[in-house]
Amino acid sequence: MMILMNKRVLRQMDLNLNKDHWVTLFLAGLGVCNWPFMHIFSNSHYCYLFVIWLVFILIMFIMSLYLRDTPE
Amino acid sequence: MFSAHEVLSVSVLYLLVIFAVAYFFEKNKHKPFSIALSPYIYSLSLAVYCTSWTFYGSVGRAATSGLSFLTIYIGPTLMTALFPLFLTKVIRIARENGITSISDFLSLRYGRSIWLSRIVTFVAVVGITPYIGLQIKAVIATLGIISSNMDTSDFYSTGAGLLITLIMGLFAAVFGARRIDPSEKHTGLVHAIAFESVIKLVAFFSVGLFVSYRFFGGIGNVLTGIRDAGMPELLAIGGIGHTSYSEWFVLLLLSMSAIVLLPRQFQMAVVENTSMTQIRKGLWLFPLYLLAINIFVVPIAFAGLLKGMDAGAADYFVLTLPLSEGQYSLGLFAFIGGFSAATAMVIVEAIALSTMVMNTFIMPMMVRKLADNPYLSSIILVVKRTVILGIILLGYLFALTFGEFFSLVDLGLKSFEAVSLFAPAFFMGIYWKRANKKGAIVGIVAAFVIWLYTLILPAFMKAGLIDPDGLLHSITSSYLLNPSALFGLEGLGKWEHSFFWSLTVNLTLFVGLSLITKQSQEEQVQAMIFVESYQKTYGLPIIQEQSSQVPFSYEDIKSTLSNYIGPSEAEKALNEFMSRNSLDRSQLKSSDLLRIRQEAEKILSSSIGPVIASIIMEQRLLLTQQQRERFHEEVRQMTEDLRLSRKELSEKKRELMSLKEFTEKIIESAPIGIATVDKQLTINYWNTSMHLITGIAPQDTKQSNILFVLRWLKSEWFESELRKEGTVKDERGKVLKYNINSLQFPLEGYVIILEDITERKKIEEELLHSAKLASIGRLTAGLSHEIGNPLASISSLTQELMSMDLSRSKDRDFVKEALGAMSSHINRISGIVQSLGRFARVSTQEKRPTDLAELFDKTLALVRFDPRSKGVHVERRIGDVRPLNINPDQIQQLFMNLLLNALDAMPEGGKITAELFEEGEFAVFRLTDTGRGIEEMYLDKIYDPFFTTKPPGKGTGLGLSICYGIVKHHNGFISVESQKDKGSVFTVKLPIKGS
Repeated sequence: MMILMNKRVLRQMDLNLNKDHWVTLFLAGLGVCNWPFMHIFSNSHYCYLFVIWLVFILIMFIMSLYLRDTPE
Repeated sequence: MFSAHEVLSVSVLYLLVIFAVAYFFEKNKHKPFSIALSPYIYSLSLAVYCTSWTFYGSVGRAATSGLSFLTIYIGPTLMTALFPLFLTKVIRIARENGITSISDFLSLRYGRSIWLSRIVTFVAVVGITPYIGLQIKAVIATLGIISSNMDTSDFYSTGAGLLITLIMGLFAAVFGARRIDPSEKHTGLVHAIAFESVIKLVAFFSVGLFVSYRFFGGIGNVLTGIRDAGMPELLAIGGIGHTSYSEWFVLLLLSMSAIVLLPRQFQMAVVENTSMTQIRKGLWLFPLYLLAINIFVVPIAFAGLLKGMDAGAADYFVLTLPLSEGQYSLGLFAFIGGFSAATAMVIVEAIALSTMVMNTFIMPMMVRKLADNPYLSSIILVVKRTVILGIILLGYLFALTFGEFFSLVDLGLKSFEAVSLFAPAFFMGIYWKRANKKGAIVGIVAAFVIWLYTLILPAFMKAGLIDPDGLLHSITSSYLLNPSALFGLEGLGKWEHSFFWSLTVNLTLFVGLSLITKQSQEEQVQAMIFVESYQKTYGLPIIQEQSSQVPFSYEDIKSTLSNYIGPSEAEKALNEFMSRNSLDRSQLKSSDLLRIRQEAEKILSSSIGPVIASIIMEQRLLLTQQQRERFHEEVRQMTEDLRLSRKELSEKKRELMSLKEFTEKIIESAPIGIATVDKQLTINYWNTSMHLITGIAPQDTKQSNILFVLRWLKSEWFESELRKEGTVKDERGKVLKYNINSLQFPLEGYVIILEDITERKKIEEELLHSAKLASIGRLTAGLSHEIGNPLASISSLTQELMSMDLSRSKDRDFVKEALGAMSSHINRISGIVQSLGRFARVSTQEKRPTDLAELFDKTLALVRFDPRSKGVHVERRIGDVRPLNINPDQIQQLFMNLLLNALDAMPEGGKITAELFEEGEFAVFRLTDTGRGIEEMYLDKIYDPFFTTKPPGKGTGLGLSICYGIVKHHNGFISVESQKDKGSVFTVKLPIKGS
């Protein structure tokens, strides 16, 4: 994870995020927050939701590092 | 506990602190230390989403309905993943068009429709003002809880609640409508809201920590404590008695639309945005805030239930739990947290709604009645403040009259459903060009009716506010029109049921009408601008020079603008525009005036809405029908061009990608090794051939320094921009030809090209050896003669010696002489064989310091064996030449080939002149013959392999080609001058240093 957040690595990877990445993240998030994933983790909804919530934020954080500043 | 006076004093003091924060940042917004652009402030201001519903209501919902409260926060978190796609587009459109509310946004998109704007405003006011009331109710209720000597009803009856509400209204009026600002940015307000977000988070956290330690024995035990509490139904979703998955899904969708469409969120996320960088940070900071503020909701709810508190009063567990444990200071802090959550929402929502009400209902009226009033800008300001105050008081009135019938969560969700009615028109409007005004209006109106019928009517009936008897009873209890099971659709909860019908009807009407009805010209223009344009979206982008004069002047524009936003603001705004576009007021052309008119309309749009701004401009700065049509045509043309340009751009991008792929494949499949390094010599590219040549895989070179990977490379080769090339033998014995070049600007670093020439070198060596053997072959006749003569002599002498009588002294003398002669002959033969052996041995690639003159003499001695040399006079002009670092075998072959060629050219005899001297940095060897020369037409072909002018069987055509290769290998030059029948001059230049 730390490697992914390393600015030098980011520069080397030069990952060009496009709308597909964001839509995929959104749909994946929507998917795991609903049935049937929620049903699979029905014994521990409380922990499951907070964990995926945190993971989602973490992914957003990493992706935001790759997001180039849009020209004003 | 605290007395009512103490609590009121603390509340007023807190509001004064908020005033101070807002005032300080408003006053210093242009100072260097201003953090107006800080993405952190922006992210915290988005947390205005977390109202007293979050602070109090979430705990209440967790205690009664379990985890469903989380949907309200997970939904916005998911939605932020789409912010880089649509929010940036919405912000750009809003910024370029001076849009300051969601009603203006929708109105402008659908052809500046005032009716659509009014409907959106009406729905928003009806849907949200009660929710403002519930915030005020929450504040007054908590005042009653924390005061020892007054209960909630006393706060209503004594007017204390009204006082608090008025202070909130005053704050909103002062900082939300401080002046008519063309930018409509409220720096002070944004900072105050961010400050409040911090307060409510810290307060909630404090209560959460207290509860964790007091009731669960520490944070580490919270999860176990909750699990052991024996209330599993509150931790489950799906199944009987729990929140259903369908409700969960619908609540997620509702909160996802609310985070964008709630007027206060639009105000903070779009209108108050000052930079796109804020979005980048907000992507994770805002969801993190939502996560943080929800961490302790379940522990607090469980703690209250475990303590035996009434689940019906769970909304205020955050406050009552610390108080019940005697933690009055913490209770007071919790009260401040809840108070800050409520005030932030009330203030921002009131400002956002007032902007909508002003721009759609009041401004058109004022423009009609007071258009020529010289104090219009001041009047506008006063009216706007009054509207803000009015909305907050309306909320107070709702709290006073109907507040007891509704819970925070219930009314919050109703307001979410109300704004979700805008979702189809809003989201599809920025991506679908055919979406039109009729579809948007009819869709929203129909969905609003369904919202009223399926959510509000049952609530009012349940609360006893509407008499459910008579006709209404017949209708609501019918199979088709049952508000809880419309058209017989049963099995859905009230939120799913209402959302399903309102969204279905809304979408059907919106899409259907958009497909079957036509857009107006204005709608077409706006649709193209909103959907196609991404960067510059303002209505009339570039105006060509008009042939006719426009019927207004700069002063007219300024005067119109001054009327609504004040003379100084108008002057400032227009001057900024003139300066930005390098316009001179004394030399304005018609097209310039039209551009200034556009800018003025944009400025006005920010202050009073795009519809009225457009009307004012049309009335005051009249355009002829012809001019208007031409504008529309130009805009349409330009937007169409833009669309085509984008299409072309996308095609070019595709081509570029194919070209890139093509180039990459070529480089990847090239038979030569290619690697690139940056300035620090870190490898960033390593192709397949590089792997094959060096045996080092690309993955083993990533981020490595090339000097550690290819150890034969020298760091000094990378110290200058000059190209370096040469050959090297690596540790595996491979002969590699390297070439190091600097990468060209804008790239930085070097490209290293490697070629494995091991095989080629072997072939070259074999070729050289063959050439030597060929030379020896050519000398064979002469050599046999040279060796044959002394052998014949030795033979004859041997015969003579055998017949000698050694007893005779005369014979003994002869024997002595004969043996001397034989020894001399043998020595000569031995010399010939040795020199021949030295010449014929397999050459190496090794270079060593060699005396060129000595080497030439040795070669000449060999050539002397050629019988043709008998008739040739060789003149040596050997000067002083320093020893050169050369491969002697190769250079001797060079001399040999040149000398034998000279002999070939002079079958009848002649003269060879061999010169050796230094010239500058070169040692020059020049061989001149007086032979038949070379025809001019063959001069540029003589170094080609297998080219010969000799008769078949006389030459291989490789001699000069090998000479050329040898000279090049020594970094030298070879040239020839020749004249037919006069002779040839071959000149070889070898560098004295670095050959």
